[in-house]
Amino acid sequence: MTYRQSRRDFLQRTALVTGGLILGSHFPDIRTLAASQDGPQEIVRLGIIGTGSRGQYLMNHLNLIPGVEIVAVCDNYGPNLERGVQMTGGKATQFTDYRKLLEMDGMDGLIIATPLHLHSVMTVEALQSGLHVFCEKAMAKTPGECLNMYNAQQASGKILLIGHQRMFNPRYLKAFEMINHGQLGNITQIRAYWHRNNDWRRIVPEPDLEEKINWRMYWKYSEGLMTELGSHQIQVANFIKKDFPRKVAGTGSINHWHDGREVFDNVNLVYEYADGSSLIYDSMISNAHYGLEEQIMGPLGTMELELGRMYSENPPPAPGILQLLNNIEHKIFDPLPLGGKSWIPETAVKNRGEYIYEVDLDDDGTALEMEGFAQMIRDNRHSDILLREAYYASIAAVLGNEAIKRGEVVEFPEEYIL
Amino acid sequence: MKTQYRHFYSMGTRLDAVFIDIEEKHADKLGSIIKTRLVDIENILSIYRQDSELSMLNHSAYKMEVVVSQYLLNALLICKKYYKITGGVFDAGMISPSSSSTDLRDNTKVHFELLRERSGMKNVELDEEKKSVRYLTRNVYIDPGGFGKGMAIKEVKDILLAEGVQNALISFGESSVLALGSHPQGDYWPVAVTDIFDNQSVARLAKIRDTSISTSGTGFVDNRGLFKPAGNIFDPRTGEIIKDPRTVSFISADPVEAEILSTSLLIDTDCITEGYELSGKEAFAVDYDSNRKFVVNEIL
Repeated sequence: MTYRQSRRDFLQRTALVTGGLILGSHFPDIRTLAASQDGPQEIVRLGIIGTGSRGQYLMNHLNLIPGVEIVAVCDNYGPNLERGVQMTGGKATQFTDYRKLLEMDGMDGLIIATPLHLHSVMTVEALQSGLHVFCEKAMAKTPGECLNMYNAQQASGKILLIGHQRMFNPRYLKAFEMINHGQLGNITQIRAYWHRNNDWRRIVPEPDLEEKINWRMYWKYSEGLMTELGSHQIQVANFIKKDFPRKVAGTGSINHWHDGREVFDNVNLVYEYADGSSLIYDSMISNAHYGLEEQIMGPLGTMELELGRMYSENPPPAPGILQLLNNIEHKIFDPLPLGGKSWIPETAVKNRGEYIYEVDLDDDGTALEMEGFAQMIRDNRHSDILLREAYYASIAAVLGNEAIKRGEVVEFPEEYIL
Repeated sequence: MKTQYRHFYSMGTRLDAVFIDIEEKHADKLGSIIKTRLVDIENILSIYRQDSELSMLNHSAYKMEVVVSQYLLNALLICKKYYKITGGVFDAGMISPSSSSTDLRDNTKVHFELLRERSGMKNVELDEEKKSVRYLTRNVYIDPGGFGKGMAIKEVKDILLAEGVQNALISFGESSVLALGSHPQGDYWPVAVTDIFDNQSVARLAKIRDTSISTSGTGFVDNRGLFKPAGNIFDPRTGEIIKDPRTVSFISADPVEAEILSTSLLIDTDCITEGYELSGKEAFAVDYDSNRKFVVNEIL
């Protein structure tokens, strides 16, 4: 069965997955989202700034959501803007200057899918103009910018949601619930990695457009692998630990793609939480064999969140032994069975684990995230939990780069603790 | 105080421990001690770990004389002892015909003779004084599959006795079971070897107290009810792989003996040397006729 993005499915699945009180207390907003009533949807009108590849990806999802209309698009690169308008069937008003878009009436919310260095200024101005904002991850390029965005949201009272779609992925939500219920025990280590094998470049039609199109390569616009990839996984780790990293150390370099880029093509970091547990993180773009994963480890078991499997450190109880325990409790003097159909000669036990969530998902959470943003607007309900998650993940990602550049252990600055 | 249950993976299988009339904290402590000790044994005996002492011995002992730990030496002395007692039916150093290297893979008589000559306990030289081991030929490979769990159960028994546990049941993959004291409702632990084609049906009941029972089988029954030979139970004297469904259980106060002899008798119920002390012990086989009906044969 493939997961179909529909409001009814979203309601049912999210409620199912987040039914537990414990998870509910961390996700009051998502559970409330799921509890919204059926019936015709109030139309949510959105603008979008940045209709490059990520913006188009989001628009593909938005176009499938009943009750959502994209009424304005903005991009200062012609081909992207043209494509963005096409994707609205030519209906959206188009802009090359985002400030002009912000002056337009008739919008409820804004999607920001621009290069990292623009997140803060655009988000703050959009919030101040009275719009609800979805901004792609990572939150911003510096801790100061993150704080500016957070403060702007607090002052405006509007919704600010940052694009960490794993927080809307039912498999992740289920995993969080299981972890919260203690199925792995206390989490003593998390390992996460994201490996790709490509130069991360986009085609540049003219040399002048190099920095505009390949902005991810340059420190002026980007924080490289840590914000583009790592922030997702740091956010997951933080959420599981219910904490943010207190310090980080690591290395990074350009060891393969010597093509004039500035940002590292490999990063290797250790983050430490207040309880002494760690997140060991690495990312590289010169080998894709291991792909990506978040490995969550505790004394009772392990979860691999991307693969969606859990491995218990202890085997399930033997049925015969369970029967024996039951018999003892009920004062029954029956024998323990040996042999029989279920008895298999011992070989090396390979614990293949079990699925965390048994439904095939054909979406990484983005569809639900867009659905969620639209519903948050309808309900006028901001999620401070989700915003703080994004805030700390973004700052931790940036601090990772700082630790690499300085060659030192970097501590989470006091002034950025909310 | 109540019944406590602890279970964890160990030695490539599952260990279930039921403790009677013990405080929870004591059970936690016992579980921890047992687990730690079994990890030590795995570090010595596990062939699934490349860095275990036995794996390294298998890798090196043909090339050189290898000094080993007392524990491993004791294990090999036990293997030698039972190799003699069973007339070679128990041979922990023999490579299975189905797993030998390519030049010996063809299980013809000629090739098996070559395998028999080049592997097996007869080609293992032990020096108790120097605590050293040497393999005289290249194809010796010690596999603890026929005695490792027994050794582990013995360690667990020693731990429980030292900790003052009076009543407990320890099950290793439901094939090697240690019974200390008795079931709370009786004066022994009742265990039942079941019909492999119908696990609701008891083939043979055993009453065990302060003793071990080890049950070895030639295969298992799949989801369709068909018997599947394990393929690795073979007669080291002839190379014949045992394919018919059968289980043999051996009851002894010595868990190592129980495991070794249950496997040996599975291959040949007459293999135990005359004069070997068998009083106080039990052994029985559960065989199956062509209609899959079980028949219990008392061996001792």
